Amino acid sequence: MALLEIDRLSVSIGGHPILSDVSLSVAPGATLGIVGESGSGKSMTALSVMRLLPPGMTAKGAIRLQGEDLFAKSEREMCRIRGGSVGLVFQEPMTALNPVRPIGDQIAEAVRLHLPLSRADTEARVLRLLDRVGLTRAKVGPERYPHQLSGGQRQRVVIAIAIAADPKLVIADEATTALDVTVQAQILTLLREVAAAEGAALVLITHDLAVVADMAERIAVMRDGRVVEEAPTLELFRHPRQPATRELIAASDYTPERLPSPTVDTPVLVAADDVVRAHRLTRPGLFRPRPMARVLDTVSVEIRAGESIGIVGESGAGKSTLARAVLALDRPNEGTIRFRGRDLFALSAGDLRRTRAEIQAVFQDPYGSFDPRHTVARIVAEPLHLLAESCPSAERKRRVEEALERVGLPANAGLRYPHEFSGGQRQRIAIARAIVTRPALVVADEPVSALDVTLRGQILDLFAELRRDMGLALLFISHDLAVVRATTDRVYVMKDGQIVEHGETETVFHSPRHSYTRALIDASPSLERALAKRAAARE
Amino acid sequence: MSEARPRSAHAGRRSVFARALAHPSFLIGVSIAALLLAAALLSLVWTPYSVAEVVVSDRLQPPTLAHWLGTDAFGRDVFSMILVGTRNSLGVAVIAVAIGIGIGVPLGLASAAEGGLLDDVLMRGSDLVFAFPALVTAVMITAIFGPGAVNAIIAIGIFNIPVFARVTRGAARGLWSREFVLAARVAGKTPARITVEHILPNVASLIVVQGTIQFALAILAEAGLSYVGLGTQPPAPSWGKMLNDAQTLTAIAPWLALTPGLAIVFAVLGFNLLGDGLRDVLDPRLERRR
Amino acid sequence: MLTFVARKLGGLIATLVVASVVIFAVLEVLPGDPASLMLGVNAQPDTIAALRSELGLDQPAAARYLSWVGGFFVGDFGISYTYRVPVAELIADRAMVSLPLALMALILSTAIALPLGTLAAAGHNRWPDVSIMSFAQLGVAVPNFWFGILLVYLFAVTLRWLPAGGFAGWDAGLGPAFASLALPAIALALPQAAILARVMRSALLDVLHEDYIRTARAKGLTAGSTIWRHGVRNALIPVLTILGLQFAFLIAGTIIIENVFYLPGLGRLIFQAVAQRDLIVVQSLVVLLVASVVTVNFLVDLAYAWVDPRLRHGRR
Repeated sequence: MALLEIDRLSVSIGGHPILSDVSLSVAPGATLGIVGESGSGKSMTALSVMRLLPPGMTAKGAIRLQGEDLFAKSEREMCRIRGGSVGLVFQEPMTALNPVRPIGDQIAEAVRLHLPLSRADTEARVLRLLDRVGLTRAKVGPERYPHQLSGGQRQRVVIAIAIAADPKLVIADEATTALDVTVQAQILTLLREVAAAEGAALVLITHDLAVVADMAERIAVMRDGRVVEEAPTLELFRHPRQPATRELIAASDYTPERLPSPTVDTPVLVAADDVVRAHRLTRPGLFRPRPMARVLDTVSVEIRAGESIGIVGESGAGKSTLARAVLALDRPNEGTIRFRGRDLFALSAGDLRRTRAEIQAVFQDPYGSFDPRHTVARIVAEPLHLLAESCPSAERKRRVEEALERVGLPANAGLRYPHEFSGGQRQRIAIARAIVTRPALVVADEPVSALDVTLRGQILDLFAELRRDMGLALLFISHDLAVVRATTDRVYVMKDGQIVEHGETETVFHSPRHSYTRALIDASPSLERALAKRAAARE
Repeated sequence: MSEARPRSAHAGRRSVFARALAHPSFLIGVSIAALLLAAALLSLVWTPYSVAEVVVSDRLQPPTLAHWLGTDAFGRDVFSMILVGTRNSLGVAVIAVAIGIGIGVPLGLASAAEGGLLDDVLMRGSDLVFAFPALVTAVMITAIFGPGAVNAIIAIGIFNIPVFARVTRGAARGLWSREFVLAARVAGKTPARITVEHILPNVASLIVVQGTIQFALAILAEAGLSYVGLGTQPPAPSWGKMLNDAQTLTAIAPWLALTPGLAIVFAVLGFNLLGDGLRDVLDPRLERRR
Repeated sequence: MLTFVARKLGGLIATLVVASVVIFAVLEVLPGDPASLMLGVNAQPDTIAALRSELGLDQPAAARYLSWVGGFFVGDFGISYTYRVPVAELIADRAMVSLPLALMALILSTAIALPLGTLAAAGHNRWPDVSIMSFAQLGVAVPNFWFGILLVYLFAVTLRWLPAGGFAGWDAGLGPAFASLALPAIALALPQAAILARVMRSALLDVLHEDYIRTARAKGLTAGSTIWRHGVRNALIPVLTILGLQFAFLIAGTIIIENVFYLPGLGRLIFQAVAQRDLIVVQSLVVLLVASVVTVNFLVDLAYAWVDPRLRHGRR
């Protein structure tokens, strides 16, 4: 008998369907992966199992846990199931724990709710649970508060809470999405180990195909609130039956058109030399001096005209700080940044304006990078005032329309407001704004990280096309190794404010010299590697 | 991820008007505000009786057809005094809030844009002002210049400056860390220009909402100051002063203590409802939580 | 933690120093000589001069400021120009009325507001919420002195349960003293409670949208115990801010309410002192009121650290 059986589950809000006829089943001790893009209904399926749907949503169908219908249970009985038979791990480790209570206290609460243990036994169990998720007493004791823990450590605590009462099923909803790749690999391993040791079944919800391919024996693909396909992992990837599945697989190892790398005699556009950027920390003690933290530590980067440069590294490595320095937004404490041989921070106001017209930027968040009160035309036209020749309004209009068309938006898109566009279209608007002055360099800071995989490919294509047509150089900043590998000529690997390795992208990825680069590559989920491993295991 | 987020903060930007019409507390608030304004304007050209007219034979009359709300100890018509009191209350509140917005908002914008020393000075300065309750400020001003309506305006106005400065600064600082401001800086815009083009329009609705709330508080504060004799001076009628006069007469003429108090409650309630309503109407993000 | 307390304490002292300079300077520019005011119009010039030197008025402003501030540390606030008694004595006497009144009002309003705000948030958009918030909306709009007048009319004039005003004095025993403070405390507390209940409700509603609330529910806690164990303490953080700010309003409210109930507290004293130009009393009282507001805000900061471990560990 299946442990969990979801039978024609439909969820709607005010007559608007969220889930339609979702049927899934999980065997005891098995691992099911649910993949799909945002809005496909993955999380709602998980919340339905817990009966924790947001208010206003109504569910139909049946969900059976060990043969018992969950929809027929009283709220009190559900409270025994939540955290008792089913543990849940969420996406946001930074905010998933109560900031004002020690972590041991929060784990103990989950124990007490479901197990009739004495106070001493509860304490002992909390220590064992912390130990089990890799937080030893010496390193992270139960008396610590969430803010004293890193994101990965917090997610370990959340996992400890989820397994506190020996659940038969653990649901992990994008549990590693917000984490750095090396931490993600550790947490995934932990989830797998814990589930195996407790004999619990695992439902892994993610947008990342490589992660599920590695972790799950069976995979269900969701789109628009429906399960479009469910099959054993290898079979699903080798013989996808549905177009939606095929599309998803194709998008996830998508490589845009490769352009010839510029030659050595191409002029240097940007040269950053030994750049140091530091900021003061708060005083550690009342009368002690404020220490300085180096966010950028003697960083040197060179970008040639038309070249595509990648910067990779985990959060806190200093990638965005470097971008801001190259954009002449923040002055480095030491070192110089030259653009076409002239020091960016020694330019006259007029020269700085002309230079800014040549260095433009695209940011990560397609929702936050536009003033919601401005029309798209006004947004795209914003950098035009940098141009030396004053721009008459007819010329402005023409250039805005040209930029919009170039990024694949209709010319009349300018009359509308950014909120009327989808995430992918918004990123096109951001790119239109970046190219409206016909710059020589675009700094793109995580430009596709907030997008679904199918959109990601389209935006990467657009960058490749613009580079080819406009001779644009690109400084491409990302935590995603696969994307950087697919789009850049040369790459710099950053860690803790320093560049640990740089070189031709293919060389660096193929034969990394630095141990950190190797660790990064090993930790990055790879669909190819996961499938090969799975195939080998079967034989 | 991207598509799962609520569509936009301004999904219904063009339907602000429609949302306003469907919002009960906004409608009630607007109606009360309009009524008060009409009463204040009316009192400029007409009142049933002159408020300066002392008719001792008519003193302490209960509400009658001739005097709808009765007469006070000097035989003055209470309804006329309430009308003139409305003008007085709204006048003081308008100027006090205008002082707060006029000085506080630019300070808050500048402090968010500049940071550093200016920001520190502003925050310490506002701590200092908050340490002086408006009433204590009024006491000090009275000690120097003697009592009067101007007194009340200055005392409430001074208190309003850091209120608006802090609200503006907080919201503006949030905006300065947003990517669209970063984009404007990449486009080479100066902090002053970014403040005018991006920051101010985006904090405007917040200032309007805060303005309404401070307006209600100002009416309350003016009534309090006039009640203890630090605000509007007799013979000019004001709601607070009327209550002070009525207090000693509650045993023989309780209605005198009723109407000025109700007028204050009505006005404060109206502007508070207006503020709550505006908050929802101008910013649909918050509406879902209410 | 120590750094946090030290920084806040530094801020407190700085604010007090600047505030005392401001108060001193403002009252310094006042026309009129206290000595001639005290002695009346017929006083001889040499008597006035003698009194001036006795009061220290012939010294330069800076010296007078220092001796005035220095006096605070030894409990010497100077001699009242009109009452001819030490200001410290005068203030201590009156504070025995105002302080208990303010405290009673603070405790009462918190005791009413926090449970009601919690109840409203828990029943969000249902009848408990709607009815509590309607009352709160009304309560915010009611001026406390008018509410006081109505209370007097109802409970003192009509029902004759409680005294209409005046203070029985602590010598008369706790019963009569509290009876004379009951109505003023209620008049002060209810409008404050309305504001606080609204703040508590919206703070709690904000907290209830946090991820850790979902974690708590997924753990198996019921909706009710989730609010109690994970919601309330986090919601207290913004509530404390308002509580601190409200204290300033409470001080102002006390001064007004003492007029409604004819209580011989600091509020009455300050009005009498202003009317009689008893500057030294005004000066000292204002400094004292400001100091109490600043001190309460300092205590609120400490309470923050108690509620929020992030502050305790000195993280920004």
